[in-house]
Amino acid sequence: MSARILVVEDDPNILLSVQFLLQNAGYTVQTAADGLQAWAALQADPPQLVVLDVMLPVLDGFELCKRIRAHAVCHRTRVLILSARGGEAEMEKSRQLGTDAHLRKPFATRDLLETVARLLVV
Amino acid sequence: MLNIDLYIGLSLIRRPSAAEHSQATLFVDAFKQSPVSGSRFWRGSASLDELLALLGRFLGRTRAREAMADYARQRGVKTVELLPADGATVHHAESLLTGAVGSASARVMIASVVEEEPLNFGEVMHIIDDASQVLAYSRRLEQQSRELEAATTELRDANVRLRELDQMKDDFISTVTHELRTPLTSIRAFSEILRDNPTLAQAQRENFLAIIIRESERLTRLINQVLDLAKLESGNTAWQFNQFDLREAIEESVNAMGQVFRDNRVTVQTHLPANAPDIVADRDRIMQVLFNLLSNAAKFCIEGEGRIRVSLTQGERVLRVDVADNGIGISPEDQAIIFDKFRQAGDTLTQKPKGSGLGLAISRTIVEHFGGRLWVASRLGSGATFSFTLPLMRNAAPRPAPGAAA
Repeated sequence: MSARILVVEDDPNILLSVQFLLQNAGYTVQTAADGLQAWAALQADPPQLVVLDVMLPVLDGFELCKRIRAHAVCHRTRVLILSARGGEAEMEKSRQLGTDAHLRKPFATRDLLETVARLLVV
Repeated sequence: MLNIDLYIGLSLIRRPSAAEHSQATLFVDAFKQSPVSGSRFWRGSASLDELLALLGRFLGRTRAREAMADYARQRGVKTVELLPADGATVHHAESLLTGAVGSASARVMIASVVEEEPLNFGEVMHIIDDASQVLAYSRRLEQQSRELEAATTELRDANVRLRELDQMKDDFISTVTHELRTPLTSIRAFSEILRDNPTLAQAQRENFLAIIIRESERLTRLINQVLDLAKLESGNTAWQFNQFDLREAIEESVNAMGQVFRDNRVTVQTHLPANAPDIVADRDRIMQVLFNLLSNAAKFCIEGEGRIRVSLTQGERVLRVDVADNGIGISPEDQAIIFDKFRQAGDTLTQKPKGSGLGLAISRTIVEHFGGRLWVASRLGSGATFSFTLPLMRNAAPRPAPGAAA
């Protein structure tokens, strides 16, 4: 059975591209367009990996990350941050929150696929 | 005759009630009191303990004792306690105090421990002068301290404002970065997808290519607008001053956007007066404002049955343009922010509104540059009307309607 990944992204084009890339690589992909939608999906059935945009409507990526880390059901869920602001402060915040990886937008598709593969092996 | 050079009764009297109080009765010859010599002799009785206590208060107990011990040695007396509380001692104590509190104050204080010492009129006047000087000085100090406080507050406020500006700049750069990276992310991802997947279905290829083109356009628009706004704000804009007919400009902008209106199935009505005076402004920039308001109206109209009404009216000193749509309207909260950079109505909704979020900020800057105003009136659920004014030239003659007889 292929690994299940939740992609949380409010820009429909980026969402489509990430979804295509991951499905094309054989993963099962679930999507959410805002933080609350994502949180509901996570609680219902936590995936192995969440690919998470930072600037999300309703509930932002870092806030969602905090919830994931505090929630026992999600303790095996890996978090990959995709951030478009990309400042040093944001990278640091990402590290402090205990995310598993952080990619800056725009990313190379190969980097995304390699990072996802690495996170799902460990 | 009395020997006026000598103190009479220089005896040390021990009070039965307080044995340790050394007390002396002092006399001084009034004729000897010379302001030139600087020596002032006290008359009356003083207590050495009280003098020491007084000195101790202002010089510190140890310093006071040391100073008086020095003085005792000078007078050939073994200890401070054996020092006679005579005129010379009192005078010395006064000179010690003067160094600490000023002469007038020292005089008053010493007088308080010397019994039966009447202050003469000159001294009282001197004390009053001294005190009023101190008062004036302290008033000046108070005034300066108030001024300093006001200046400090001003500086602190300026600092807060600077920090806010700095924060706004940081936020702006951060937002611009985000807005630039977002379309670029799709462009790169889909380009790489197309490169790495040559066997994609035709429909999917076309869809991905359309996204790349759309996002490139979005990126270009955004870059242009950011640059435009930066130019407007830096004051480096080369403004044109054209005299032109605003009615023509409105008709031209509405016609130029015909395709957009047809694509969005929006009908546009224009209500223009038969004649209107010319205005003086940068015609291209005013066209930019009209395009911005018209495209916003088209974007936020009711889908499929959008109606836009554009009207021009002449006020006493201004021409006023209204662009009304029949869209969902703008809440009072959103009305307060939509003229800010990168702030859009409905920003918190899942579906991000289209556009860069810079159009209204740019439009307002342009209109205000020519002395006009740009504002919105709206109620949620019943459309929005964006209006702007431009001032009329003085002595402007109304331009006759095209084709009308002069």
